[in-house]
Amino acid sequence: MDSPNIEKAISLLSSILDCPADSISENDTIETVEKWDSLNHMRLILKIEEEYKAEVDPDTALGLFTVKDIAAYISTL
Amino acid sequence: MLFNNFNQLGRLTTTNSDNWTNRAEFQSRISERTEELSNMVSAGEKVLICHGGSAGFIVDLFSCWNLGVAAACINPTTTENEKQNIIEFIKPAAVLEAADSEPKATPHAGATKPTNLSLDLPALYLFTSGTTGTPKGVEHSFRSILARLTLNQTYIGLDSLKTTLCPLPTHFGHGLIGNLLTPLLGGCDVILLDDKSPMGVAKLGELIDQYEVTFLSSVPSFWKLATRLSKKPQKNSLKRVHVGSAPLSTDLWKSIANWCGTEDVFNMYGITETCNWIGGVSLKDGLAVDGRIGTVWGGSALVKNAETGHITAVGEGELLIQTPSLMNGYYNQPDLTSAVLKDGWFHTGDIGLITEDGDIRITGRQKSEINRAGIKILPEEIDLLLERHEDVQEVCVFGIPDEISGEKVAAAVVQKDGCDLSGDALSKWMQNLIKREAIPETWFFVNEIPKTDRGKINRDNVREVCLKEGKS
Repeated sequence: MDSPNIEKAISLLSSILDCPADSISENDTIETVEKWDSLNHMRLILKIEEEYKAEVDPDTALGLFTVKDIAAYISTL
Repeated sequence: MLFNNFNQLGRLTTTNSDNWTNRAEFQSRISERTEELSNMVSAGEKVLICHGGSAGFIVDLFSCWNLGVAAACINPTTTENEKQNIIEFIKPAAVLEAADSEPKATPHAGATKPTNLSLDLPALYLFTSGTTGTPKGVEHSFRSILARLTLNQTYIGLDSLKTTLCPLPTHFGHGLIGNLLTPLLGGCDVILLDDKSPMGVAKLGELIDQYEVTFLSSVPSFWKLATRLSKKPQKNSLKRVHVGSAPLSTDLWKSIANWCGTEDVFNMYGITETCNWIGGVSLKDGLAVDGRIGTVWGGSALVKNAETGHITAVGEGELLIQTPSLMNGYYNQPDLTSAVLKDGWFHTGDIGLITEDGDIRITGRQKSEINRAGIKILPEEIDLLLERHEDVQEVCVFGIPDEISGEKVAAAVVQKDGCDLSGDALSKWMQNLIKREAIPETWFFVNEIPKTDRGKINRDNVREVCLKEGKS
């Protein structure tokens, strides 16, 4: 996995969850990060759309449940 | 007692189950549970129910009501600390921890004198706070619940409620009274949404088609997720949709109607103190503007001018409500009760505009509570909890606007000299002390909390300063 995209994915999550970036790791998922709930997932989608001027479709939004998934997706934008 | 025949009970299931609990099964289980509880509690006493979202919850609730016992329903995720605080406060005779669990007697059993059965006995306690200090427990009588259920069924119509999907938790008024008891006690089918994760919400359209759902009610933040993550239902089964517990913007209102395939999407207004909905208006009813809730269902509304104190039927000011489903008061808090219940009128703390024809629009709020995705949080309570932390010198909790949840909980914190606190550390410290949704999501570490020239904290002012200066 491209490291800058992992870093960017962690940075996006840490800003949404208001927690330090070093508390989130490459292997984290929606299951392992307590604050990553439905509301924060939607905030994450909106943040990606805002930063990358992209529209995240429903199927994609439901595939972004891990740090690696987010990194892989933003690498395509 | 009020619900002792259950002749009108409908069926209930959850989305993770293939089994429906029908009327006969409910009646049998309620009869057994009533017998079990009758050895422990009697009319006029209280039982704490710590679970929800299942047929077993309905069995427990109706068994209490069968005996004339008041049920105090709390969030199943309530921390042990909060639960103990509530137990000490309301002194229930028994605690029901889980569906079908053995009732646990408390030292308070038998402390209340037996009472004659009456519609005016307390039936339900719903807590809008309870973390620190004295919990705020809204007390409803059997009479007020019966009035609300009757009004809801009359104004909504049993045909619309025929197959109801309940995506809300069942420990607060909107989910319990509006979305669960109103249809179930009208003989309708109720499906409880089990999975509230993004994956669960993404299946909403599919579930509506699968069960041919005719009615559901939820909060604006739920719809923000559903309209983005879920495909639209295809069968046009929805007859009516309610949105409430938080302000609904006109844009989201129209977007929900488009997703649902019906203009019968109602912006609803209701408060725990009024036993859920007291009014609502649909897109079909004409002008769709932010905050419009139409006329009161079976009650009256007035406004109190903030400057003059004059109370009028038309104009803008604090909204006062009179309804047959008004609470008895806040349990054991006469001062708090008398501050909001005056001459039979409930002072809502919401600012409303009433037109000549009685049409109401909610335009603001004068109370300090934070509305996070429909869950009401008292900032004063979080202040008191955080100030217990050894490294915190002073704190001010307030709501900040949020696109998804309407408001987020934020805190401005002054830490003691030489300390090195972080929001993450404070969040972790709070985890076992308070329900998760009340933990601040945004933290501002400041050198001082701004105060008025009288030395008082004005939360609006603190919010403005923090948002302007940003996080530190």
